Amino acid sequence: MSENRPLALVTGSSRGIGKFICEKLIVDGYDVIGCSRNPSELVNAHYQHIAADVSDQSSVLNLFKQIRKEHGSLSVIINNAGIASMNHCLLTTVEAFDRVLNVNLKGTFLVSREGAKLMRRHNFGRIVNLSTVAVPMSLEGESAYVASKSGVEALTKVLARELAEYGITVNALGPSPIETDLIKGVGADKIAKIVNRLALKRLGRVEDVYNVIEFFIRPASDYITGQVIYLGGI
Amino acid sequence: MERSQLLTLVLEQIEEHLQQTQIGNDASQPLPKISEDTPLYGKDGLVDSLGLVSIVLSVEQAINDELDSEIVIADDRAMSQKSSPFGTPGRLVDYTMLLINERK
Repeated sequence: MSENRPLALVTGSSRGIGKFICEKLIVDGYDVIGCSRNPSELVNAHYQHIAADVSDQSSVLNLFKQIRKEHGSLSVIINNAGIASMNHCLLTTVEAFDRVLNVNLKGTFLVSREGAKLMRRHNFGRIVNLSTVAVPMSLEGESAYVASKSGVEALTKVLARELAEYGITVNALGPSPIETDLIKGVGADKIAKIVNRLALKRLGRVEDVYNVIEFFIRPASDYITGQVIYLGGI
Repeated sequence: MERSQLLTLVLEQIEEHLQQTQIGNDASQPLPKISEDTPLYGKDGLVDSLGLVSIVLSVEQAINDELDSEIVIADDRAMSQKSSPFGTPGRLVDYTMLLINERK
């Protein structure tokens, strides 16, 4: 970690998209703090892993206490931590519904709220939230997941307005299906069906995700806030 | 942290906020004298809702830096108090003292 590099926080960093985002941010000159409930395999001089559960307020407060104490500032947050629950609404348990809402929506809220408190100290910040193309598609079989991500999009737009005066932008991106652990449990025919509804008929790549993130977090993107960009042409 | 120390901290944060806003920048309009009973927010209050957010967050950060804590001042209890803890600097100090003492 170096004092000269801006600091980025990536939630859900232990694997998949989150891990890739961390690696790319480091290459692009950031010091990165990753957090997840599980340990990370990423070992790099510019990476620090902090175990945290984003759905638990005391865990998030502890995470930011550590960031505040050790670093004092924060430039970028990527709210990537997320879980899915694929099931017909008639078969979705309230426990599964709570779990998905807690991690995806409450987690994004808590991390954004505490992060913005740090960012406002320097009147600069970039928050990027992860949504999904399943929201505009109103994808059946994913009621809890789509409801949580719809909430994330609404939160993105309200936070964008509330945090604008502190120089903080808040945007979201909605990936199409990406080859990660999250879609391993989804049938190939269902994935093919989703991809066929996109203008660009292929699975998304983690590079496509980072491309939009990189655009949102650029200092020059200070006039772009409250926006949701979907991958694949929805 | 003693109450008097906390009061000084809160008044400093309020003054700093006022200096950064129009009230403090207008030379013809000197900074109002603030005591612990000065109306802060609400009827005849010094600041609007956004100003209050800035002050509460600044106080929260200053305390958390000082005490190495993670106090959240604007919690559910603060919002549901019959007498708002944000009405005057004194009430903000009293409510914050409560939170500080509870964590011991």
